[in-house]
Amino acid sequence: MSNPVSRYGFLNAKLRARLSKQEEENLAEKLLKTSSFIEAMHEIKNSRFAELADVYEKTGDVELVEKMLVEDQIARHKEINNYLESVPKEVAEILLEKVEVDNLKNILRLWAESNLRHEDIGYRLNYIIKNKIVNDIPWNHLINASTWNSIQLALSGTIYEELFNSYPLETIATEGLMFLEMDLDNLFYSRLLTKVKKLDKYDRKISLEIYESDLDLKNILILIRYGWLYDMDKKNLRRIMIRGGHLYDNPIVEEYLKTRNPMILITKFHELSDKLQNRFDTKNHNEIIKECLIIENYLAKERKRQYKKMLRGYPFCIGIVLAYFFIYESGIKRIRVILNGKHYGWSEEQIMGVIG
Amino acid sequence: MSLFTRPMKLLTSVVLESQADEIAQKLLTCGVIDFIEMKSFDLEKLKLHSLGVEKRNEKKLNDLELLSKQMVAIYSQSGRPLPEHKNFDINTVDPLDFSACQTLLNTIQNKILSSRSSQREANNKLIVYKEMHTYCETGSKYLEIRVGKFDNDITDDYLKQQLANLRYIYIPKFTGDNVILTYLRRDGGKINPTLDSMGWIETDNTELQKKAIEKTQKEIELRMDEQQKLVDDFSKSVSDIVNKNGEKLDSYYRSLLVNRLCSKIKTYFTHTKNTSIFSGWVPVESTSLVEKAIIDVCGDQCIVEWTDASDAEDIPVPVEIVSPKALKPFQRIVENYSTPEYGTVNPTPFVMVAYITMFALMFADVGQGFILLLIGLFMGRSYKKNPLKKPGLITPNLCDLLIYLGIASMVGGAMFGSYFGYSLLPPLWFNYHGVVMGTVGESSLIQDVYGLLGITIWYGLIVICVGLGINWINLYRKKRWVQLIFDRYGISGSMIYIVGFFTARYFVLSGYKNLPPGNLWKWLIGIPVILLAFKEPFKCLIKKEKFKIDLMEWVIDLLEIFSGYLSNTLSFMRVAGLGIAHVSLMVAFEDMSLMVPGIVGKLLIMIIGNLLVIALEGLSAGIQALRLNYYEFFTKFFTGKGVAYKPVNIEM
Repeated sequence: MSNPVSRYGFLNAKLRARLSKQEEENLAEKLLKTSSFIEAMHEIKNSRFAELADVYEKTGDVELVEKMLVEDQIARHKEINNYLESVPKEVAEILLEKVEVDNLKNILRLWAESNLRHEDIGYRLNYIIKNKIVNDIPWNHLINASTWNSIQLALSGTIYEELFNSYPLETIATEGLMFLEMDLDNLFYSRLLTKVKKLDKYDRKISLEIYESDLDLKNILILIRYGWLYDMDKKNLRRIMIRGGHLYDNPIVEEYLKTRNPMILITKFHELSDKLQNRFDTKNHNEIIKECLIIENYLAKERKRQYKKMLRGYPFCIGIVLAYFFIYESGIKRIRVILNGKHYGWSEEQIMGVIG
Repeated sequence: MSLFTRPMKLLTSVVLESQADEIAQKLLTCGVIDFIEMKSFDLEKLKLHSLGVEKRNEKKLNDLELLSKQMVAIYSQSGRPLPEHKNFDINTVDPLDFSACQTLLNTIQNKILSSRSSQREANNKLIVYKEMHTYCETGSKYLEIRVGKFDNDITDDYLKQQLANLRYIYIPKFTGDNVILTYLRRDGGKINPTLDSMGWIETDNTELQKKAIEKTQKEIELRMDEQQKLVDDFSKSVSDIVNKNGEKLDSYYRSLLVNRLCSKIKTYFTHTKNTSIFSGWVPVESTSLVEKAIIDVCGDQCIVEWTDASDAEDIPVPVEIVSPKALKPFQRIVENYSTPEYGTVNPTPFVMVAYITMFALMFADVGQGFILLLIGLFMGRSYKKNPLKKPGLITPNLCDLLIYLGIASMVGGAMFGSYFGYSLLPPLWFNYHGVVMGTVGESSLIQDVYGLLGITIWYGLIVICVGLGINWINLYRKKRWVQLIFDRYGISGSMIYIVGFFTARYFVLSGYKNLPPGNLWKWLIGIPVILLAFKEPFKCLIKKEKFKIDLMEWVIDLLEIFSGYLSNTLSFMRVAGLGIAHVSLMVAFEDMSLMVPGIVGKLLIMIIGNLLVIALEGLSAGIQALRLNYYEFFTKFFTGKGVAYKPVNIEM
């Protein structure tokens, strides 16, 4: 199946049908309009996720429902992977590693809370995904690890071994998990970009376009949040930036690191720079959080725009697969946030503030 | 059953504002009015002054709908079925105490959430017990089973207090002073120092430790059962909370339903200072019922005015097609396509005949038809037995359809002599199997596949002509004379088609040498062709616009008539195609079965073959029959411009 039509023809039809069904169902909007959690569960009962409502009725546990949603997302992603082959399949598999990295981060945070800060983590380990996501990670070893050494041992032989071995316990104890988490993101993106560069010309072009602009906006966010809000030093800022994209090696970053003027970073993004004009005059904590939110919303909007463009564009390329992953997965994320928000009695505005 | 759509009349009524609520309830009881927005009328012209009451009604309706959603969600959480909408007298429903209902629902909702929260805690413990059980069974290193005693005098309560919020299993009095304490090793960081501080002395008796594993396993299993029961009890408690208030909730549900629908009706009311005005479409046979209902409430202090559908210009008349219950599956096929125009022919009985005959011609087999019949009967019965059953791939409507299709297939099978692919009995019409395989004798009515194709072309002609006939009737009833005479599916187009068909037949039968003798056929085609050129001028004449003949449009129209009718007719050859494919597949399976030794193997192949043919061919024949109905039959007369009749009633 070497030609693009035979490679993507079937998937294109299948994924478009699924996307249109998802759009028709419009579950997230329906959930958002409900006035209580119980009503939201009733909507879930009448949707394609009916079995989740059943799980809730049997356990009373909304977090278990959320975990099942992520498991569903993984299963769907794997199903699509099975329809792909060679490099596109490998790219799709690495994309799923983001869920794996997030799962790993969740374990690390719980481990640190319990073992470094000696706080009660309750039953939160129950919500960790223990099935294989992409790589053979011994999740049981990890959730049962009581020392940092046992975590490192559990990850030996995996793609994360080298990274974890470069962090001794003393570093984790003094620096916290932030740098390690950033390095995990870095590892994910570097693996993704390496693989993307092996795609065919057209697939490579559209994939790089989307992930590089994604990285640029993420790096802007990092630079503003940590460089402007928390005054992080240059060396550490460089350390936590995600390698890749157009911005990482751009002289603009050096200029920003000297002047710490956020507007330098965003001049390229006209819409964003218009929105943030004169907003960096004062260094107010709450204001900067709002500004970060504006950038995050812009990032989300920009992604949406790019994926929609992909759907309208040439059908026999990896674009439809990437667009499907994004739309399906962001749909699942929206449902999770809304369910959680409804469970804790948030208003529609508060929920909208989180999902953008 | 009516051959045409149900006749309607437009009701316009003025009643006193003070009686509006009572009127709304009476109209709901009637349940036959498809209300229209009074905004459709020119209110300025009528000198009506809306006092903004509509907005108040909309807000009330919105509040009631929100409450109703909350109530439905509560029923759904508990698994208690919603009270039936049918069979209750609207007039005996208690008035709704909105705030009392809201308070009750909020109380129940809070109780449910609290119960779910406890259920969640219990379930979390259950998950940990399950994890411990797995580790215990596999002898995993993640589980710590400790046997020993405390050198201090430690009470059970003190131990519990010290290990609060931690996940462990404590078995006191294991042997003598020895106790067992089991926990996940990951919690050791917190549990071990506590045990040490209480003077824990670990036993070195290995025998005792082995016994402790067995004892722990049993204890975990016991705890798992208890915990599962607790989780289930909390789940059941949600149903109990709702059922305890069941009667009250049911009563509120009905009141809420009636109030909501009355409010919905009132949103259609337009108000002056002292009066309410409303309007809606009512089936002709229900007009006296509605009129009586209004007069019962208002006496002579009201105005009730009826307008015939034909006089109500610019207001779309809703359409209801009434068919006997037995024809419901075919009515569904019609509704799935669109709604016919008001006053036109009800296509349901025609669809029934067309669909069934098409299916019988494509899927003719007594045995396979019998299987379809059984599936329809069996599945239909299971839906009737369990009305709450969620429809799967085979919906209740499809079950009804399968019964018809099964019988049709059996009749077709008897006509062509096919029984599970075998010719067990002589055919009543001709041997389809033999025709396809070329094994029929000279005495057979049909000799070869061309004969089969010929039958389907004749069949197509009949279906298309019926469609054209229905179109003529519809156009006549709608008084669309220009279309009736000049349209491609009107008299001119039909004439060209029918005469053209017989001319072509003569030409083919003469060995493609001669056209029919005489000039009659030339006149019968020529006159409509010329008439078609005058379609646009006639339209201009009626609209009193400038007279023009568009030669290009005329030529294109003629081409479209020619190609359209030709492709429509030839499209029916798929009926023969599917029938031939059906026979060929059965022959293939029969040949395959002959290659296998032993009766069991042969039987197995024939069973699998029949099942595959039923699934694949059955589906394909069903889809093709639908396609022929939608594209070749409906396009001749079905404009789909109708608006469906949706009265406000309790069954909404």
